[in-house]
Formats: sequence, structure tokens, C-alpha cells
Amino acid sequence: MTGILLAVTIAAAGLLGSLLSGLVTDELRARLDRFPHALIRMAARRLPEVQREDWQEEWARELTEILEGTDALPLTRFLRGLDYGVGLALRSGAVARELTDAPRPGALRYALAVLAGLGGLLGCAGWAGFPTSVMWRDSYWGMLAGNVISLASGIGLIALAFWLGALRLARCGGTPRAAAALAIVVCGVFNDVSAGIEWPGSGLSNVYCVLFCTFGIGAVMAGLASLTRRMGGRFLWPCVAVLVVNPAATTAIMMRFPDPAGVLAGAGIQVLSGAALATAAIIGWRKARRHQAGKPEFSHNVRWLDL
Amino acid sequence: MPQVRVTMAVAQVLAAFLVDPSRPCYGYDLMRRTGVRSGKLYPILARLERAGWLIREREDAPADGRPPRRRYRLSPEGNAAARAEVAPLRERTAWPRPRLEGGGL
Repeated sequence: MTGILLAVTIAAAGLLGSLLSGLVTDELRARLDRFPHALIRMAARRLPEVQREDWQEEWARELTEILEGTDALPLTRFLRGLDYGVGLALRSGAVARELTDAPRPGALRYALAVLAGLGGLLGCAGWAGFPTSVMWRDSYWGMLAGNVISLASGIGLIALAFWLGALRLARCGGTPRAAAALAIVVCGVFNDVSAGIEWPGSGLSNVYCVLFCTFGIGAVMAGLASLTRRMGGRFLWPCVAVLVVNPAATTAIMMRFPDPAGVLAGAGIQVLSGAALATAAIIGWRKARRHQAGKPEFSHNVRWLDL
Repeated sequence: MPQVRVTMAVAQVLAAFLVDPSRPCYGYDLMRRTGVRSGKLYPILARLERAGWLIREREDAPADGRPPRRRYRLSPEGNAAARAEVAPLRERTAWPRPRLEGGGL
């Protein structure tokens, strides 16, 4: 009797397992398919507005053919779709130039873009100087340097956003908004990487690490929400302001008050800033979903204009 | 009409059209046939269309319910220009033929 029960249980578990794996595969497949479509929407943003919809439609339909074609194998189709999307995302500026007869960017513009890019990288690294400076919290000059570097880098990041956008060389849409969103994502990642330097430490130190990481998580959410156009424009620039003010305010408080009150207050600012950024991302996300609800769908399960 | 600079990639795309000039081609088909990737192909197609060598059109709605795609075909001027541009390139890139004295093989 026990043997029969065991066999039935194994059979039921196997059936349930195969059913679940099928569902998971379908879910993964549908979600993976959205990624190349998002790249195409990103690429189309660099085209002249009057022709944008037409070209986006053409690319989206070709991509549908790649992803749903008769010879589409599960992994191959995704890789081909990804290659198609990445190629367009990287080179849609060239299509825009052909459509508008705009001149190729000269050597000076490329040099400026490279300088802006290097400045941005330095800015991100400098911005991460704040959490790193927590390690120097016994040194007055270390804290001061962290404060100044963070503030200067925050301002530098906004400048970078405008530079890349103005030069139309930013890879995600070529607008200051997109470049700023990208800068927020990079800063969030830098924040969490540098905050995690102290992990694993003593029990309290680990708690601080987690609290400091909340800001980076919020920043990544806000940046991604803006990059995928889920966040309204009104949220983006306040988010950038939070990014600039946060390290300066946190460092100032930590310098003013001694350990542990100062560090706790600093961590509190990080958590509040992270929560504000995450809330902005979620509100923007929900608004965008409501806005998208009325848009037509052009293909089986692929939305036309947004994820 | 803007001048077309025929690079090797442009020549590859034109050669794909010249295989059967009356037959329209889709973007993805051109990618497969020429090996030119999307980031390079679409600027070329946009350039050729602006120069009047290609005509971009929407296909009739397919019977299987899929959304109609855009396709490209050579215009009469494009056909003539493509032949004129691709032929010398073919000549230059072809293997040299052995020349035998006194005719022979």
C-alpha cells in the first residue's frame, strides 16, 4: 500500500514538475523576447521624430520574424534577436544621419565625447568616494575630501548628461534625460559596490553596509525606470538632485556628529533617499502602465510601444 | 539626389538585390544573405533609398495573420546604377584568369 502511495506521489510530483517547468520556460521566453524590442525602441529614439514610428515599426516586425520565424530555435532566436537589437541600438545614429543628411561628427566632437565619457567615469568613481570615505571617518581630511569629491562629481555627472545628450552620442536615445538616467544607474551600482567594501565586518558594520546599499538600489530602480520611459520627466531631475545632495548631506552629518550617532544619521539619510528614489520609480512605473494600457498591440504578445 | 559612396558593404547589398532585381527583399533576409549586420545594413538601406536606388514599400497583409513587413526593391535607376557600380568591383575582386599563349584551353 505504501509502495503504491509512493509511486502515485512520485508520478504526481513529476507531472507537477513538468507543468511548472513548462510554465517557467514560457514565462522566461516571453520576458526575454521583450529585451530586443526594448533595444529597438531605444534605437528609434535617435531618429527624426517624423520618421521614428515608421522605422520602429519596420524593425519591430523584422524582429518579430526573427523571434517567431519558422526556423526559430529557442536559444538561437534569442541570440539573433539580441544581435539585431544591439546592432540597431549602437548604430541608429548613422541611420538618423542618413535620413536627415546631417554631417558626420567631426574629430573635435568625438574628442569632446571621449573627454565627457572619461569625465563621467571619473565622476562616478569620485561619487563613490563618499561611501569609501566612511572607512576614513577617523580622518577629518578624509571626510572633507570625500565630501568635496562627491559634490563635485555629482555636478560633473549632470554636466556629462548634458554633454552626451547635446552631442547626440549617448547610446540610449541621445538625450540629456537618457544620459542622466544612465548616470543614475551607474552611480547606484558604484554606491552599492563601494558600500559593500566593508562587508563582511562586525555585526553592526554589516547592518550599516545594508543600510547604505538601500540608496544604490533606489538609484538603480529610478535610473532604469527612466531609461525605459516608465518614469515621467518630472521625476528624473529631482532624482539627479537627490544624487548630488545625498552624499554631501550624509558626509556633513557624519562629520558633525561623532560615531555612532553620526553614522546612524548618515545611514538614515541613505535609506530615506533610497526610499524616495524607489517610490518615484514605482509611481512612474504605474503611471506608464496606465498610459500604455490603451495602446494597440501589433503582434501576438509583444507590445508595440513599451515593455 | 545625394551621391552614393559604394563601399564593400554597399556593394554586397546591391549584389544581393541584383541576383533577382524584380524580387523585393526584407531587411532580415538581406542580413542573412549578405552577412551584413543590422547596425550596418539599415544606414545603407536608408542611404540607397534617399538616393532613389531603392524603393521601400509595405507588403500586402500575409494570409497567416502576421503584421505586414516593409520590403525593398531596386528602382529602375537603382538597377542600372547598381550594375554599373558592382560590375567593376566584381572584376577587381575576381581571381585572375590564366592566360595561355597561342589560345589553347
